[in-house]
Amino acid sequence: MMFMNKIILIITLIGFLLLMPKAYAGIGLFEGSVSLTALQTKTVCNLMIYSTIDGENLFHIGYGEEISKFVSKIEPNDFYLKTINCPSDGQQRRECITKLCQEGKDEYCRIICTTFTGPFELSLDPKSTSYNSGIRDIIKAGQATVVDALPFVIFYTPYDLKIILGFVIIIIIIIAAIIIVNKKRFKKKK
Amino acid sequence: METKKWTVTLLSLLLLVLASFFGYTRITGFATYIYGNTTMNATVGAWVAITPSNTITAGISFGNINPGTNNNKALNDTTGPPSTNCTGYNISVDTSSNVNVDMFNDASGNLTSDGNTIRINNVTLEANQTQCGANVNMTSTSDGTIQLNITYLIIGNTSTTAGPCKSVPYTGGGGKCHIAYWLDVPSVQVAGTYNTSYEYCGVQEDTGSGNCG
Repeated sequence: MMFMNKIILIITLIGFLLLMPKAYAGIGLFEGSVSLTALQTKTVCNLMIYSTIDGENLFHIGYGEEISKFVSKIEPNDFYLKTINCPSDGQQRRECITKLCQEGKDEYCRIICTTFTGPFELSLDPKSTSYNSGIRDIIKAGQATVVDALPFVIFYTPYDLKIILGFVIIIIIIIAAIIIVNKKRFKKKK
Repeated sequence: METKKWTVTLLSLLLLVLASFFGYTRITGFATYIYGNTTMNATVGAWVAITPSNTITAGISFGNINPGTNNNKALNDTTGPPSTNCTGYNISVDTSSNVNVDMFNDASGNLTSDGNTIRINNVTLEANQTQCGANVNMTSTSDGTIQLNITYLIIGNTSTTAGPCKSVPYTGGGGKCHIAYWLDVPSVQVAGTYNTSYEYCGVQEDTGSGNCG
């Protein structure tokens, strides 16, 4: 009987855990945005950098102030690129640039991977908040500084405090159950 | 034995109550689908590339100027000598772009030399998207001349939302923003070589100067 009770308790606990919602949201990545939850790390390689400026110039990739707290790594960064030699027609030019990038012609084009990490924030009512800012490549071309910028959005959802509270309550209940069972056993022995 | 049974039952009930309290339980009904529909969408990524003319990458130089002189036109102008009303300073939208581009500019601060300063608003500029020619006079006395600022503004304007180099098209071989620069030097100015950083930024149309940094 005691064995049966233990099994019921374990099954109930397992049932409780299975009924919990998934703590992490699915991947919500599309061009120009990324979805993150607290402590989640995501690496996104969605940026192509190429040079239309004469000569060989230094490129630096950066994110706007509002979203830079989510950025933990930009790889590669601070690199030199030579001018692309692609057709002038827009569509053909973009296809040519994409091909250069995919073929790994590093001297003409780079694919940039950014690792984002969601900061640890707790909320009783976690909702996705959007942080709008820019992703930019800053080019030192001769004496000039030229910036190409695109809008970038991060959708961030803090950690659900209720999940932590739930775990704490479960642990307290388990400890209480163990104490009660042991007390009875100890009394019996006496 | 009875107590133990009750303890386990109570604990089980408590856990289930807690589960519903935290909203972890989901009750799903039975449903029959007669028909279904969904949406279809695709997001095409934006490409933006601007290319400064060689006169810009060479640096905007006003040459040797006497104190107390105004409207000194920038040198390194490939279109014509400084005395003409044309400019070789331009930034073009590269044909790889697939969106119109808003072009901004700013300076990092005043022009300085060994602790001496020429205020940045002594630099004036004018811009347009039309090729410098017979019908376009880019002169320091024309209506479109504005002072350079230390915050990003549309090139040739004091606004972040309007101006001559807003919505420069990516079509038709890519539009251009032509710029002319002048410098006023106060009469009391100490001799020296004065420098500052000048920055250009091209962003997808209507997404704001905030993306420039």
